[in-house]
Amino acid sequence: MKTDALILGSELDGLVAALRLLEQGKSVRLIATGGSSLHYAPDGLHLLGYEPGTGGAVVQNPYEAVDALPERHPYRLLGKARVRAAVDGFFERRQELGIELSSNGRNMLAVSLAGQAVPVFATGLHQAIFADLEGGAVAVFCYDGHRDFPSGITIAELRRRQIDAHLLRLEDPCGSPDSMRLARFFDSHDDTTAYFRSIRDRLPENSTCALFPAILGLDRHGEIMAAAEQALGLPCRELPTLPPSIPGMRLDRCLTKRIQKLGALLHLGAQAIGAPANNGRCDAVSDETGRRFEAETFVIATGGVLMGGLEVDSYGLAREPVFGLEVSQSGPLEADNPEEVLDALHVVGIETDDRLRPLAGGQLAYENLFVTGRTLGHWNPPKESSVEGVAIATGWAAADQACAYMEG
Amino acid sequence: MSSQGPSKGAPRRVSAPRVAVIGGGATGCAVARDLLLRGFRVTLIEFGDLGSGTSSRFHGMLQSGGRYAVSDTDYAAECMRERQIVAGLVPHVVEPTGGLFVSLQEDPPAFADEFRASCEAAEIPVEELDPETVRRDEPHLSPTIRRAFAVPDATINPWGLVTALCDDARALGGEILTRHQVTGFELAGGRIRAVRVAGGGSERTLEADCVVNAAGPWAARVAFLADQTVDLELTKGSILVFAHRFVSKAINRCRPSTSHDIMVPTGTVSLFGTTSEVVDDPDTTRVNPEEIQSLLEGGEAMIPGLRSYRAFRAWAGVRPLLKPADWSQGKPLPRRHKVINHAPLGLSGFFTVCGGSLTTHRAMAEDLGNQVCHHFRAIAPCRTATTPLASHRNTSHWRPAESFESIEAENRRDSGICECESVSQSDLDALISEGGYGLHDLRRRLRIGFGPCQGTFCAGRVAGLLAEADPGFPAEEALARFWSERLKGMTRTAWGDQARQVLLSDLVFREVMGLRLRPEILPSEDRR
Ligand SMILES: Cc1cc2nc3c(=O)[nH]c(=O)nc-3n(C[C@H](O)[C@H](O)[C@H](O)COP(=O)(O)OP(=O)(O)OC[C@H]3O[C@@H](n4cnc5c(N)ncnc54)[C@H](O)[C@@H]3O)c2cc1C
Repeated sequence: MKTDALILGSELDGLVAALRLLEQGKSVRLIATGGSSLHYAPDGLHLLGYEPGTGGAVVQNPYEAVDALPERHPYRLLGKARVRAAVDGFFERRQELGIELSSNGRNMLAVSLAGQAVPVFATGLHQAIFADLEGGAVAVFCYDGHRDFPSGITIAELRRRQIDAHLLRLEDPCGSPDSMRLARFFDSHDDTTAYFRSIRDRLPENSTCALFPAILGLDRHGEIMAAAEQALGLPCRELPTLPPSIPGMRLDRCLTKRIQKLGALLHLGAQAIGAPANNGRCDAVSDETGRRFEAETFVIATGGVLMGGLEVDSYGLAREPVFGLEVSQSGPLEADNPEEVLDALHVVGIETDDRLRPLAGGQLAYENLFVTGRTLGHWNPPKESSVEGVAIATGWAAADQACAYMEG
Repeated sequence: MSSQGPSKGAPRRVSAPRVAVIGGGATGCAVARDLLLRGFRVTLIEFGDLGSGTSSRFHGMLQSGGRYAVSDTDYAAECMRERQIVAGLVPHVVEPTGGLFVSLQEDPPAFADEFRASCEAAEIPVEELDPETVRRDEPHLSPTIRRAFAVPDATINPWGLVTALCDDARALGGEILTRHQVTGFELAGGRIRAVRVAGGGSERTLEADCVVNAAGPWAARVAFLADQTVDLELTKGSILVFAHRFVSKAINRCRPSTSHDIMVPTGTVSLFGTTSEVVDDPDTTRVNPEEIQSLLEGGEAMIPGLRSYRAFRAWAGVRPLLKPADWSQGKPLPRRHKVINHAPLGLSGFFTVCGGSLTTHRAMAEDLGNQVCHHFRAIAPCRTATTPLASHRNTSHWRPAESFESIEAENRRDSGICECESVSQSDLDALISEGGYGLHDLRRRLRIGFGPCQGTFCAGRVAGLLAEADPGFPAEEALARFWSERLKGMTRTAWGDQARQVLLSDLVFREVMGLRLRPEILPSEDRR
């Protein structure tokens, strides 16, 4: 069956593009190998956290800092208004998506795994931010044997920042606790209120906030947090863990469920390989088993080098493996110091016009193909702290462009 | 036994001469043990952690000598003798992989016969194998093999070696000072009186009747502190680490020794090397992009398709070879070690031992020990070849899957901390309770951060355990520096899946942990 749109990749940008296309009545098929960098990502939406070119000063208002970005940065390509419309649009849909987010329109400082202050534009409702902790006495709960929550670091760093932090060890409730098992334990617990009551007497009296590793449920997170706050009688927050990241998985699941409900066809575990071109148009993509997927429009949300959407060879040359799109690269990735190598791997990507259509030699290469997220060039996720922002803005814009194309 | 000399065996007499040994590489550690067994009082001083210099930035081989059979038959014979002795002393750190010398289409055919004859002359057991058999047993090798010879090469875990030597030295009453740097000497009347040592935040003076300079590529710098010159030629060799054991034996090209022609399987990985470049600075550990390309080209000839395999790191070590005074330019330097007694050069009681290889570390110490005895007119024969080490375990040889097997055999179900190298929490707890270890020290002892992920997942876990044990542990700083150091090697091989790994590591350290890169990381970062 031919669909209006075929989306390659299940990263945040691909899911957002699917959502937006479906909302406009288009039929959508999404094929992906199945991995997503959301499963590594910490909680919250990062829009633009560090000022480019200033050695990493924290940005207060992301929109005000957009103009200082490089000219071909995806935010500049789309323009501030389109970026804002996409982010606002995503934010407005949080209820129907079942995503808990809060934002005051400026960056806040969240607590990183190593207890550092990192900027975030919209937080998960229960994500620990420094403003909530300062001046208080925080109880940090951890589970015995949960190696992916190295609480020793967090406690030491919080104390270094003059926050009165107490570590409280809880018995492992599920046998060899990893983040996934713990999250499932809470999801499947009949009476979480009773569970939290049973640990209440562990809290030191003067506690003002209880911190948990971010494992309090994957599907029933909101309920579980409410039960915790009610039973413990104080605000409860979550701290990041090493991957897998349960908050990232929550976001992934909410979006995936939503687009399935709206009728998207999902093929996970499929590796797109060949895409014959036809006069500047793409008609279909094949996967490695030989299946052919026809569509009117295509969204390339393949996740850049990190997720295999771009490949780098041992000569330092990058290529786009499905369509053979032209990759913008200033030279081989053989820089002298580690930071330059990281920068080069991040900023390499597909050059597009302002409608996100790929170029070849400065000319339009395909009119019905749109590139998003990490596969785009000229942006640097960790340096800018902008990964979800760029994904949402470009996924949203790609969907709108694809609709515009189909509507003639 | 002369009256001034130390007596054989313990207890050590308070009147026995005091020797300061500088350098905690294989050579220095072996010297300490040798002199202690001869009855001297010994303090070993090492700038960083044990075995953190050239003795770990090497190719991993306990050599049969095959590599030098044609060019230096006597030295090859010494390697073979020492290979046997060392494998008997520390079997738990030696994996007897065996070695192969393969003659490919492009290698000079006449060399093969010369190679076999030289091995026989050096008493290196050598067996010619049928190329068909080799193609079957080592399917990754180039199919153009014409001839192949098996020799008893082995691999050795250098940290295991220096730890075993130093444990023995301590058991014999020796003192080991790691993280201490020799900063100068006190001399009087053409004799050594004392060594100035900085470490643990202070500087102090250790009285010494004799100094042994076993500082490897830093030996010239140490000698300079005593106004002595040692003429070294420092050659940097770079090595690529692959995430596979594609070969079961250590593979050499059967041709006159040149660069990039050895693939060594060690632990869970393989090392391919090396390049060779003369450098001035013993701290040079930088690998250039051109070296990577030349290694890959050399590697492709031996293992076709090598570029498509996963390399996860590159690093370099500096070889300290002595330059004889009358040596002509361009001629390859002799491999055999040399002991320099500086007495005729105006400083009595000062010895430098240099050159050689890790394989011959014990013989180097023996030679040095003989000269020190001669200096003190003591008669105390070398006993290192025949005396078992304190830690000697009557175990079989070291094998790469050992940790998996012991986890299964002991039914250890505690949580794994490092998946790449299967290190469990109980392994770590034991070391952490000893105290004083940082992330790199634990890496050298347990191989955490050694595997393909280079610490992406385990470094945070380990830092958490360290911070729990010691609330003063500077976790954030230690993690940022550890990661920055690992990145130096990882970003050299950022292609294929390793490019993805580098970015995943970046995501975990920068975005999840919230750390910042430390661009100012020094070459000696991982050693102190
Ligand atoms: C790339 C390469 C590959 C090699 N491959 C092999 C191989 O496969 N097999 C083999 O047998 N040999 C091999 N070698 C040779 C072997 O590694 C060296 O010969 C051997 O490790 C030298 O050991 P060492 O103890 O003399 O020096 P090192 O291990 O360098 O020890 C010297 C020590 O002195 C310390 N030091 C320096 N200055 C001071 C100071 N002022 N105060 C206190 N301490 C100080 C340093 O920190 C260092 O730890 C290789 C060498 C290289 C470079």
